[in-house]
Amino acid sequence: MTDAATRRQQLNAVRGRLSNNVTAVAGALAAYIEFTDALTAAGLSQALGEDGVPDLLRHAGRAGLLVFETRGSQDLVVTDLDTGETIRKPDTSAANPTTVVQALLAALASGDTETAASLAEVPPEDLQTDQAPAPPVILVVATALQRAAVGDRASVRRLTADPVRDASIYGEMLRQLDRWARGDAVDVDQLRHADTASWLDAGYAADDPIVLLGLPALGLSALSLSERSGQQP
Amino acid sequence: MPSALAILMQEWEADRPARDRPASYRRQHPTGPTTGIGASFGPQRLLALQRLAGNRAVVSRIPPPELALGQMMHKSPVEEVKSLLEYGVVDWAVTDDDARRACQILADMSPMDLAKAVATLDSSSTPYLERMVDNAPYALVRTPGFAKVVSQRQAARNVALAKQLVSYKFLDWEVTPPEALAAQTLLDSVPEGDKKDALAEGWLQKRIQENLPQGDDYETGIGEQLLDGALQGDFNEDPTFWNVVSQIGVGLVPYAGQVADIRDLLAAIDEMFDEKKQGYKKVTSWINLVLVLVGFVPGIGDLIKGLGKAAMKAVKGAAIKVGRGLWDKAFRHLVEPLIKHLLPDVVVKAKARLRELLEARAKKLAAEHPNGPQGVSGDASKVDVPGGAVPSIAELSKATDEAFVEAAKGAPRRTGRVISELVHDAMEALKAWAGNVYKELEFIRFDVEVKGDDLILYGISSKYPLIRANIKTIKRDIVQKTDFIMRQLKERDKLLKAARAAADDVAGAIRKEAIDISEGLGEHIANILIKRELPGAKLLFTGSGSGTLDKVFELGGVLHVVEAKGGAGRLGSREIAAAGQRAEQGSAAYLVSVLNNMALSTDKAEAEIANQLLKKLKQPGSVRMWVTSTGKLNINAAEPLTVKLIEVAIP
Repeated sequence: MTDAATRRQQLNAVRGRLSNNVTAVAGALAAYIEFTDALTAAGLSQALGEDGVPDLLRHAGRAGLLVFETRGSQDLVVTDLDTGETIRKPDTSAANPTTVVQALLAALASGDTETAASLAEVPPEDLQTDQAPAPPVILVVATALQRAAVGDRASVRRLTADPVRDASIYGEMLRQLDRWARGDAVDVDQLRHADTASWLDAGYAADDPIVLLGLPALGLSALSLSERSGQQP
Repeated sequence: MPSALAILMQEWEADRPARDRPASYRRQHPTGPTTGIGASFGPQRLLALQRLAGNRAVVSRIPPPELALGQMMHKSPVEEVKSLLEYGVVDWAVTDDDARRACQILADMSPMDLAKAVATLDSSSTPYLERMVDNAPYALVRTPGFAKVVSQRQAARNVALAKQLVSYKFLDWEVTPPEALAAQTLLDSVPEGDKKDALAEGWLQKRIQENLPQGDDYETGIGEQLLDGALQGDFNEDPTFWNVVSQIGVGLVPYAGQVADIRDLLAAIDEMFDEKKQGYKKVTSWINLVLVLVGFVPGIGDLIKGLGKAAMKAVKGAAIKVGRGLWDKAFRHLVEPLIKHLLPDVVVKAKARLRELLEARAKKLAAEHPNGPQGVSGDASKVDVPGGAVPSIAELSKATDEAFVEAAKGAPRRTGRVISELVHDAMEALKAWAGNVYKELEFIRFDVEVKGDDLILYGISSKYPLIRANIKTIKRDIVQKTDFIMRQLKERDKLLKAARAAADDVAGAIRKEAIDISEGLGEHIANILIKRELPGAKLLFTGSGSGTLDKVFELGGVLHVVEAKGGAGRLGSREIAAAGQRAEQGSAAYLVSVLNNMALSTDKAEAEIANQLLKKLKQPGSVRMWVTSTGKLNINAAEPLTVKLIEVAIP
């Protein structure tokens, strides 16, 4: 396990890279680094019991939105120096379904309804990229979250109508979104359990900041609470 | 009920106009269609992409798209084949898998499309199909798809490629079994006239034959089964198909056939009258005896006998239903009295006489041919072998074995015709036998029909079914109900699994050593290339293992990330988040994922360089990325390694 001193060093390093103003970040690559840094910092802060997690999540949500707004703005150029042959294409890898899901969860968890609503408008063709292929269940979750972010329960229910056999965190998120759409409380423990298991399956360490953060539980419980308190998510 | 993803797609399609110009989501740099599949993602294309990616979840949950897959792809199948077989900037080798996929795409085409595709590929200046054949693994070369694809090529091209495959080259004095088999397949596709010309020199066929896969690469032990069948004859209680084939073959050889017939008659009599076996109580034993007797008729008799035995083997599998009461009645009134009161003495005497005959023939033969093969018995006066030399049974069996292997290899169509003729003859023989039996039983007429998988023997004018045998059930039962076969199969399976596991362990360890050497070479080449390209660059970091960068250099305030590839260099992908989200190597998401991983490392140097890079990456132009490669390593190739240097411009 990573000790507190090491975590502190890691947090300082990540915080040192974060911009004070997300909108000033230029380019998709910088936006994506800002986004992942903010999530890492939030995870480390949470592990250290520090304040400021909601602010970091808000930062992540906005940086995530920026990733999609700058999608394809920078080219991936591959040149063979021997033959001079060059391949050039827009680098869209950062704008993948996982990014939008994490950005939406971060925005919801931090109560940033404006960013969540903007993320809800990212069209499906912008969620997909051949440079970062993803299983379709992530796309379904991304879309269901987009609808949930604007309070569209009916669409979420239609999206979650099928019994979901997917055992990953995304299958669990669909089940919990279905509960939310039916007006039931979200089962945070189930989400935490499935989230940890999925990261561990992907080879991440149990004390990795993204695992410690438990973003799906934070995001969906915030969604559930805001609905129950009668607020627009 | 439609799946979630299907609903998702319908919804996005239905209210697309309302979403096309979002109010608060501002795309700063809209991108149109770009290179590569999936750059523009309509719902159907997304589905096609997931299908292409082999995503079983999608395949099983989503109804097939209305559009043909080809319409949704930017690349046509031929282009896909070309891309698989092309050397690109980031793809310097044609792998086994590339060859396999290319061949699969082509083999799945209609004959007309395949002919066009092959013509297109062969008219290119790039030798696509030569590369496919050259890199085809054994598992691919032996598939019908491979033969189908190469058969569409011009004969001259196939002959030239076959020669090339088995020619010795500088430092390459080995012809591998897949190469020999590929060459044979290429020649098989060539018309007889062209093939004759190609083989006129002799060396080509000789070298192919010498290097064709041996032993376990063939269907297991056909030769052994043939030999076994020839020697054991009816003493083999569980003959395989090839045993039967061999037996027919031996029967067709003069002299050997006579011996074989006597041998089979002895076995049939043993089966019929052995106290333990009590074959006389079984209808199948009687059929067998009749068939053995039929076998005494030279030539065709052996064929009928052999095929009849194959049928009997099936019948023994207990999947036969005899008309209720009929056999009992016949047995009680006709057969049993004969067996009990008449035949035993006759049978015992007949067996003894036959054995005497066999031994006498053996002695006589040994006396007449003192230098001839040992252990042969029979009537030497009936030997009809050029030069008078008497071959041993083993030699005859071997010759038969070879003849059948040759026939099976060279003329599948002819073999099929022969088999159909044999089946026809066997049916006729069965009818004749049944006619006699039923006449004794006072049935007016009989008939044999094949209906689907069933073979039905009718009797009486009302077409009352007497025997119904299901061919598939018979085959299954033979295997399942024969303890010996099952035990052997299980034992064989166990041994093969153990062998595979042992081979995997050993191969894995050896392969790892080879990979380590490849990676070491990759690093060595990287150092040379970077020194050449960036003189004075300072090495800041060398990584080890997966999930880290290979090398980082610094020159003039710019950090140079180097990915050193050893061996067949191909950019891969990595999982960048939970549940299967991946990113292609060379992309921003991949690089950031690696750096985030390194930044959390307990290795301080690794974490430090990652933090430094993540910071610098936000400033355009301060990080450059290089990929170096040794290319495909092959000590026997004219160029054992091909050095490549690629620059990936970081956005």
